Amino acid sequence: METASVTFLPHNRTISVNRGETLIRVALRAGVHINASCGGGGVCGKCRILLEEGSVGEGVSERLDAEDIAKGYRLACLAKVEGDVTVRVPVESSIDAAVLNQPMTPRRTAKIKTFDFNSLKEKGLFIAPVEKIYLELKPPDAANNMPDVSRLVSALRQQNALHKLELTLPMIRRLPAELRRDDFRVTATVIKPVRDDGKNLITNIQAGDRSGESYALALDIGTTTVYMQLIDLISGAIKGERGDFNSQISYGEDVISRIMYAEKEGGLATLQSVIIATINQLINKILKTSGIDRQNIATITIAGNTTMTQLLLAIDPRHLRRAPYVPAAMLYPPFPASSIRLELADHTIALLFPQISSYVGGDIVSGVMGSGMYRDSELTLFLDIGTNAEIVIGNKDWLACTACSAGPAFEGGGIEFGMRAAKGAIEDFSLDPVTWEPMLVTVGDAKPRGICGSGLLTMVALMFEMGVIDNTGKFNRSLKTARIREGHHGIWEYVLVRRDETEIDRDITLNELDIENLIRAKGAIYSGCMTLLAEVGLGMEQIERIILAGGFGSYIDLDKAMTLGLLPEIDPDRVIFIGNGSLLGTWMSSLTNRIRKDVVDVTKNMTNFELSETPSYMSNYVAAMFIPHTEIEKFPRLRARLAARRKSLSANPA
Amino acid sequence: MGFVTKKESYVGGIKEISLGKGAGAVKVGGETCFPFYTFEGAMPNKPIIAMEIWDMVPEDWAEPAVAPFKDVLSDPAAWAKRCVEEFGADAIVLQLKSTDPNDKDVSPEAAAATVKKVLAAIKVPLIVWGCAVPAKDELVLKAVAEACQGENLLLGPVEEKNYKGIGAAAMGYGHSIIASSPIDVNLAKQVNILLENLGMPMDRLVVDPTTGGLGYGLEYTYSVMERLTLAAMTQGDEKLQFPMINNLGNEIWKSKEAKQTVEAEPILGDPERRGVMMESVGAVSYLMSGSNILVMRHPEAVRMVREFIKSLSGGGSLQGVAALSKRLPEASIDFAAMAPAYDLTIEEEKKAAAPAAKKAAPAAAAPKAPAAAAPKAPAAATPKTEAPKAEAAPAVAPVVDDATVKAEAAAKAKLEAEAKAKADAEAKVKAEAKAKTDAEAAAKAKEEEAKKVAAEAYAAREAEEAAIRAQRAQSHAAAEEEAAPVALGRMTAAVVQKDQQEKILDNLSRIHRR
Repeated sequence: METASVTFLPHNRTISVNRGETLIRVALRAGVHINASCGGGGVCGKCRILLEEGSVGEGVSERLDAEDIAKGYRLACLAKVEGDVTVRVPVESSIDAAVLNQPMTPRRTAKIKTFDFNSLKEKGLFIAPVEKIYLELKPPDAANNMPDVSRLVSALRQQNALHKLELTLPMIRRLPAELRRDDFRVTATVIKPVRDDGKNLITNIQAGDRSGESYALALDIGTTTVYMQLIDLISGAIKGERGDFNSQISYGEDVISRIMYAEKEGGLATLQSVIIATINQLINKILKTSGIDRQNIATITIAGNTTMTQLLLAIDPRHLRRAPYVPAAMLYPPFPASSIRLELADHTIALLFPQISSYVGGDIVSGVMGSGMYRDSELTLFLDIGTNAEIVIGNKDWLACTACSAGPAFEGGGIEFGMRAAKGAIEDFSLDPVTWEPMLVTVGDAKPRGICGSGLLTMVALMFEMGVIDNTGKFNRSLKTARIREGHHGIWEYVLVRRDETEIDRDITLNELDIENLIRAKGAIYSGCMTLLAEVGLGMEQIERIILAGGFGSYIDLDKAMTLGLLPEIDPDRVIFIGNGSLLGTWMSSLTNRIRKDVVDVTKNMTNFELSETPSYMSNYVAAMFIPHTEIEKFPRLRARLAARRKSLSANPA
Repeated sequence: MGFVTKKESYVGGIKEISLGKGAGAVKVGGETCFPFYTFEGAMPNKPIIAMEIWDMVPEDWAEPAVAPFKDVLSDPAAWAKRCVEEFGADAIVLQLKSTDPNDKDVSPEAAAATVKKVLAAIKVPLIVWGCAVPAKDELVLKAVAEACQGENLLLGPVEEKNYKGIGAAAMGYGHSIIASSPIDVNLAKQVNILLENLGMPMDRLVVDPTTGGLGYGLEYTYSVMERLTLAAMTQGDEKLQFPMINNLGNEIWKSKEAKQTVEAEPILGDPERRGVMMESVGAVSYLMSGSNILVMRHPEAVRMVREFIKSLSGGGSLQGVAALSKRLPEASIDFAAMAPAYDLTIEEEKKAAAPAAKKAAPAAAAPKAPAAAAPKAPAAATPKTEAPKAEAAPAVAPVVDDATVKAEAAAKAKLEAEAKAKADAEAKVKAEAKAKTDAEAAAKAKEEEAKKVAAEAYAAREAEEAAIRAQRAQSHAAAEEEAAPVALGRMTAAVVQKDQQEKILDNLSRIHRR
């Protein structure tokens, strides 16, 4: 993509951007504040900028009259960068240069780490789990009338040096007909053993040469969403990907309420059939769009948290929510997918990721396997942030894990105007240091409807750093702005968007209770990490790498997450985002037996800590319920920034 | 070289805070050691006792607490004056109880007027304590701060909920404040950080960790105060290096036990003595955990605790301190009548049998030990051969744990045998002296004889205990060996230092069955 350079005046800040980006997003990234409250749809007309050099595309609306346009005024939210340009941001008051030059940290998100099949092969991690072998057998005659099975087995032995062969009954049932359909030219599907001394399992037989058609499914069952991938086992490519909401949501939003439902009469059977229906829909859609024959799917690899796994298999989950929190099994044997009514061929084998404990399940194990942290010597903190945050710390020699309840704040839950990152959700934010007017952009540049998790995080971190809220998240009521006001029930709030500029015909605000919920959520996660580290005798400063998993991780501004004390202050370059870790692990596990071989050892070596049984957790939690933390010494960069800000403010009182 | 006390060196100290102004100003804090550990550091300012007065006539005070102030309860200024002039209060705490919105809800202006009245009546520092309803305290303490500009009052309690208003007023009008938090180290630190960020000068801050009454959570406050002191001293945490105040009298005297009359609970004894002692014991406990300002109520408790502080910081005996002088008549209680009847059932005999048997066992072991020591006693005549032997024994000891114990026991027995031999020799010398003098010598011999007997008895007891220890160690080691044969081997392998990785793995295997 072609780039261009944009310079903002009077800030005199230049940034290199992709052509076609809107000026408002460019400004946010550069750390330049432009008042804007309608989310980027050209409605409020506040984000006026003046072109000084160069030109932009569009940027005009009825909010600007002909005279303004002639002068060079444009709306930043509509103006698209077409080439090098210099724009001036009009300042409403005579802002002191010191205030202007206050360090606004530019946006930094985690490096997205992608994995590809070739890199797996290069690292020597590839051990093919499934082989499709084309055979041309000699048809039987009077001289050689040995049984069909023997004919197949001896050919595999002689031509492919495959020994320790084992057969399945469904395969034998199909064998006589398939052999004769194409004159004894057949393709056998052989599932390779995980261990060297294991057996080769012949699961399927197809007439003709089908050796080029080898596929597997990878499935992540989340409490809220279910994702599936169709993987080409020969090229490693993803042939199709689909997600859907877990239909169990109607029976409870979180795992605890699902377990409670499962304990009711017939509840378990209902929940099982509901999730199976969701999965079957995904299978059918994915096969239909990709045009791949169901018969060519050899395996389906499934990862889910412990509750989702037990519900899928209709294993009573009641003991998961009762102390001492005992799951039914750690390792589950492979089983025919059709045995739980998955609409796959009767030879397709289902493989399940093992569980560590009641609250650290197969999805986390899968993430750990997928991220590869179990093979590296770096001390890694693996964080899967959702309603429940799971934390794994360790390296190739040891692993310790725990789960903590963060609450739904990061997903917009428990926040008055919280919402998922859908159209109209405020996702980025900035604040004028003199007038305290906001600058915000929304998902899809639509009129604002609410605040999503990453927007909330950015907002609160920024407000803290600029002194709008204190360490406990309470507003500085002496600031001269009408946007900070006492709302309903005497709760103080900041007005992000006024009623007439929203999509919902109400003022969108951020109140002190919202902030409190966010502090609780981040405090739970940070103190979980602290407790886990302390239990093994380490400190946050020893963390060498952070791996973020979960949907939330890709959007968060790392510096803001560190300002808030959600993440420990480390070099942002050492933070890696892997997306849906659970799906990544199932993808890898579908492609190579190496993962299936390692996972048993990894699972057995992972030490689980129940935070509720760990006495120091409560004290760590109270210490973390502060922005960024009661021990500010642990956040030296922020501390230095705050000190610099205080110094510049006392030198130039605004 | 004489005895040298092991000294801890600290990386931090408590800030010195000044209360009041001019000639009446008092300093608190400033210590660089744990409470009264003056051998490790300095404690330039002794803890002070601030006596509390109320801005309204207390309605539910126990009779013993009312008695000393009966005639001044309705006049805070006179009350304060009495505390200072008669009872020697180092400071006065004016509890603005009347401002409580759930009670009299007196206006901030009226409260400020009361404060001014009291301030005029005394020369010692004045501490103003609100009603602990954050919103009301903010209004009241702001008004007080303004009305008493420049007096350097100590205002509190200031909490997370009202720190901005009170903090700003204290900064603007020149007062100090009490940062209060509910019995938690982290929360205490958080309030201090908030105040610092607000711009409050850190040399005008006192911490209230929230005081629990005796029997009503004292131990929680005690341990939090210890942790605060530890953080301040050993970790050098600058955000926690502040003097501490305990609003003690209020807590002690509101407990049921301090209020109950003799008729209601005769078994608890004289109510006046009871209340005063509860307050004194509470105060002493808080002194031990690092309190700098004790807020107290009863003059007798104040007197006793002051003597305690004096002797603990300046040395001397407490024996000369007068006992509690009562203002109220002594309660007459017939404890004997309340005593439960003797229980003389047969079961008790059975129980008594067990200790007797236990006693018998060591008795049986006793003769054995001296017997073992005795044959060695003659050999003690040549101590030179003895010494290397004793040294040689520990040399082999480290290999096996129980061998060490055995060797120690043997060495001890030898030493004791030596002592015995010495005693014998001394007795012999004395016996010679006996020939020269008669009556006097006889008495001396008798004395020596007694000493000898005592020494023998002591040696016997020591030997006996050593034997028991050795026996226990042996059986313990045997049991351990039986249970885990590798245990002994593991104990000797401390030569190689573990690296961090191994330590982590050890840590994990404690809870993980690998």
